[in-house]
Amino acid sequence: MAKSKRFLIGGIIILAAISYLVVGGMKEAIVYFVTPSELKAKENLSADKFLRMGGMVVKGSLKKDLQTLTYHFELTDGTTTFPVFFKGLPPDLFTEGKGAVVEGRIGKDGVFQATTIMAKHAEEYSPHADGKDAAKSFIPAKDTSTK
Amino acid sequence: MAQAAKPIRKSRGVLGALALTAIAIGLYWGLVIAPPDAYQGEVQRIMYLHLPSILTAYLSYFLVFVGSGMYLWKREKRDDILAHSAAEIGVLFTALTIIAGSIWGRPTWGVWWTWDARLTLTAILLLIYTGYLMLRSLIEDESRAASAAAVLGIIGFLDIPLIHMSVYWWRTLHQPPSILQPNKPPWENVHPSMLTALAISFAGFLLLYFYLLSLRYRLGEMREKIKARRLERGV
Repeated sequence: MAKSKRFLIGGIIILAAISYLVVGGMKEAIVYFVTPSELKAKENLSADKFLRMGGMVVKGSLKKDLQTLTYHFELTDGTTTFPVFFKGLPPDLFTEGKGAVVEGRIGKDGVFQATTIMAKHAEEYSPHADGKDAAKSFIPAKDTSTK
Repeated sequence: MAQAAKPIRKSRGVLGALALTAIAIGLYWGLVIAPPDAYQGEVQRIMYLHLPSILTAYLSYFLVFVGSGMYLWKREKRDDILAHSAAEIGVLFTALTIIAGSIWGRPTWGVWWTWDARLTLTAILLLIYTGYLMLRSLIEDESRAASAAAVLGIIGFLDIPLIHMSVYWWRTLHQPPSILQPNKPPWENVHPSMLTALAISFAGFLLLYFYLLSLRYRLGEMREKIKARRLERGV
């Protein structure tokens, strides 16, 4: 009896965890990140709302200061660019012309203040850097996230 | 009975030896022969563990699905033993996938974990089958436990096509599939030598999987026999 009670409690905890993940997690996961266009299109951007933005790092936009570990760059979705500021250590794969997802909030100056940078890589693996666009897949072709 | 078990035990031993050999060759190919990836460097080699591992887990949950369906239809104990065994080993390979993926994600993506659709649905996959195993021990009546688990074993399988499609339907950090991409063959995504390492490693994982499954199934059978004998003696 004690054993089955223990498992019942465990079962309820697992069930609660599953429901929490499905309801809470999936809602966030489905619109995992917004694009620079979507972010710019928003009327009143609240400065304290936690956001995730994805795009390609604009070539020539990356300015880094390795003394203070500060990074200034722009993310683009092909039509709109959005300025980003980051202080810290970005992942090794973070570089110009590649896909990245940033987490943070929009500052008063309209610059995205990133607290985390994530680098997105392609599904292609090769010993040769053949100049292929490593994250052309940063948005799926049949994107249903915002529909 | 002892005579019948002998050749099975022998072929199981051969299976285990083959699994070890294939995994050893796969490891050697993946760590030594295959070139490092141009962008990711050496860390990309985690793929030779991460990918075979999740494909093996998918196969395992497919067997849970088949065993569960067969059990609900025919009510034969062996199908339930198959589903139960496959669920246990599936959880093992799912956990291995998530651990390897996490170690791969930290240096490449920059994070151990993120709540994108693919990762979230994979975490749910692990929870579903952990829940499946708990459910079995939760219900005291055995045939009721088996039936309830079978229902979960069938419904739970639906998560796998969701995981597969997640990278097409939603924006994710995880990249699309390299091997199971509908309109693009694997060799266009993965360099031939890397693909060979993947194939050998996957073969090794499959052999290991069937070795473990056969052992676990045998264990299930023996448990049933002990129970039946106890019942006979009225213990």
